[in-house]
Amino acid sequence: MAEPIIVARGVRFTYPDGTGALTGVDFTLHAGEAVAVIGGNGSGKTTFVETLVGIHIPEGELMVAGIPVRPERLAEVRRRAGLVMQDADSQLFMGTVLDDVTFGPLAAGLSEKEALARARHALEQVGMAAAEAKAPFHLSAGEKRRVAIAGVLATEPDLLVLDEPTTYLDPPGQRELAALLTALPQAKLIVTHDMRFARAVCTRGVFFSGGRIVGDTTIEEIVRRFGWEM
Amino acid sequence: MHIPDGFLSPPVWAALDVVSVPAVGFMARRAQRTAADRAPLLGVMGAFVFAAQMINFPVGLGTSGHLVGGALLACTLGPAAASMVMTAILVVQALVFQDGGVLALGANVLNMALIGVMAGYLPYRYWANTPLRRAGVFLGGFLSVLVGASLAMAQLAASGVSFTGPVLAVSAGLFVVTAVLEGLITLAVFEAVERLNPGWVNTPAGAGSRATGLLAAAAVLLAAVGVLVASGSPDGLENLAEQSGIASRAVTLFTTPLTDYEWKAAGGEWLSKAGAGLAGLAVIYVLCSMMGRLIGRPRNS
Amino acid sequence: MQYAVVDEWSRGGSWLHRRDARAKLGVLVLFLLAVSVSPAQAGWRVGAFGVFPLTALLAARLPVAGVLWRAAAILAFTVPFAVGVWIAGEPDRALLLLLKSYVSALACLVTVGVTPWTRLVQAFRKLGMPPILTQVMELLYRYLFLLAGQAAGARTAALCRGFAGVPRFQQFRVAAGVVAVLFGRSLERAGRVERGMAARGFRGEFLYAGAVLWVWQDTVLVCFSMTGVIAAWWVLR
Repeated sequence: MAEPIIVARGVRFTYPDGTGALTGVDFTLHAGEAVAVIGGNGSGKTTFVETLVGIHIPEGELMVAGIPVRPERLAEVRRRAGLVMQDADSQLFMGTVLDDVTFGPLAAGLSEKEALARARHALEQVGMAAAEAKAPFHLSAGEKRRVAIAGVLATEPDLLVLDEPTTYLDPPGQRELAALLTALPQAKLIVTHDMRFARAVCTRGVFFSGGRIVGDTTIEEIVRRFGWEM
Repeated sequence: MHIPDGFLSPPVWAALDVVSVPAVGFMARRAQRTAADRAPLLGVMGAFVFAAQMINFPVGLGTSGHLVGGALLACTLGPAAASMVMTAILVVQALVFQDGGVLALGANVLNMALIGVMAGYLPYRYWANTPLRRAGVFLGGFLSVLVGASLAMAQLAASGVSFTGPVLAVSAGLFVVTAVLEGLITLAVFEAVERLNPGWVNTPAGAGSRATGLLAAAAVLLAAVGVLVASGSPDGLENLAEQSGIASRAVTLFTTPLTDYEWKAAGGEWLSKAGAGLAGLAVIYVLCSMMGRLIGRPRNS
Repeated sequence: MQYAVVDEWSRGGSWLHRRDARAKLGVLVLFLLAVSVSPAQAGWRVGAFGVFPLTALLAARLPVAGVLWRAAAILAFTVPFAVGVWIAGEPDRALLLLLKSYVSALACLVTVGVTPWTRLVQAFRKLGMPPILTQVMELLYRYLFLLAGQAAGARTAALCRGFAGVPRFQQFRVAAGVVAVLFGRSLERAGRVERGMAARGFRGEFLYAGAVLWVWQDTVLVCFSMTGVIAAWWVLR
């Protein structure tokens, strides 16, 4: 079997102000898998997915695509793992859609021509090719989400990490997003409160509580065991 | 007080542009050093100042004021970062909102983003760790506006706008009211911010000193008042000569920029005036950088 | 939002829109300079300089009335000043002041109306502005609309909850509270933007692809405008 995309053994992280966010996470994600990250507010879900792109440097063993998440290897880690933030406005910081999507490839050291080609391809994948000259603040919530995903796809990562991707999306928007994600071949880790969305996209779920994973099974089983539906 | 294009005479705006460029460069280097990789912070906080200006503070008589922001930013982000944010704001205002001129940008940046911000930080710098902390924040807001407005008046005066007594008195009165309001708003917002999260304000290191702070604030205040008064009598000798014709002076409330410094006077007179102006500004620049060195110590974060 | 209009204009596709931002900035500064040093005896004829921004306005197919009206915002500041000069017995100078400030503001607005903000900022960077300042300018503009929307929301919420009925002193404190919350939300937003940029490999400099390169048409624009502006100045001299 191929090398797993994520290997986490006893991952711990404490914020500078002393708040313990991760208290020992064990987790494995294989290529092509789509896993839902489920749990209450403040259970450590977002902190965990942020460690995967090196926003926080955790203790314990954490490998992304075979690269340890250490300060000296961050550039490599970030080329292999792409994070789509919950707040698309914070992620889309450039003046135009095209400038934003080319940002990642250029930062990875690609030539302008390659970066543009990749960006245009990524925008096509998410169906936003016509909007490349627009400003992010002229887009709807669903369009912003698509552009944010394109910005990450343009770096051709092995792993897509999405933090509550259905926030602000209307039901058709959620349906389209689910279809888009299912069609993408990358391994996916999706933080979500929306069990219907999780069922549509993910094959497996992990349940966070108190900064660690307390359940790793099917979505149905998590919903049943933790009473995780309205 | 944003000076538009067409108000300052060419030698004045040119000299102020020439002075502002290295001064902004100096502050940018300092900001890069103390707030490296903080461009997102400074950019978003610049947008915050724009947004905050939409919130009205009622002052009675059916009028209201709003935050200007220089002193608040200096007390929260530190002076070098605040200078960068205010400079960026002034550029956006000049280009996108026609609020202040493009050629007059040097003057506006010097008045509000550089000297205004430093004057706004000065009392807080020395009083932040003494019982006079609140007074320091208020005085900072007050000075930032008063100093900026006084400098603008002086630059208009240097451009040939002669302010007579009544006009000067009314303007000075308005400046003081605006400055007090900025002081009050800055203090109210600063305290509300500190209540939300004490970590959001920038407290300078060191015990601070009431006496030094008082001395510094008094010096800035005196300088501002001095500049304001001097604006009423530009070129003392010329003014003295003018006073012989009191009747004509009563009619001429003020005259336009182009009376004194016209390009038809492109002879030695114009050059000597520009030269004197540049020399004066060079002195201000040196003082400015010294003040910057003194005040803009790296903050602990 | 009123200033989003300028942003809309700047995304057009006319010949002027496609020119290098450095060329347009250079022409703008030259134009402002010519207006600024135009002699007093030119009088109302200084208005003739208005032909240049007007031509650009038409060539770029911007809404003429809209641009002329927006540029008139400058008059709110200059009219009281001009009235003072008029009363002082110098109607010619008053007119000159109004014309100069209006024509300058119009030229500036037309320049921004045919150049997307991000291209202007790139031009500033290429012209040697410190990177921290250009980055701040780029991000400031990006988040301006978003935070202004939040401020408008906060204002509406305060009004809906009976802000007008609160005693004046309390109103002041409520307004301060609103600004402080806005401050906090902006700081948090900045933190998220910082993390987002780090996650996408930001290393201290914004990188752009497909930046506009200086082509011969830009040289044509500069030469043509320069000749025109200098000729106009010479005639009015």
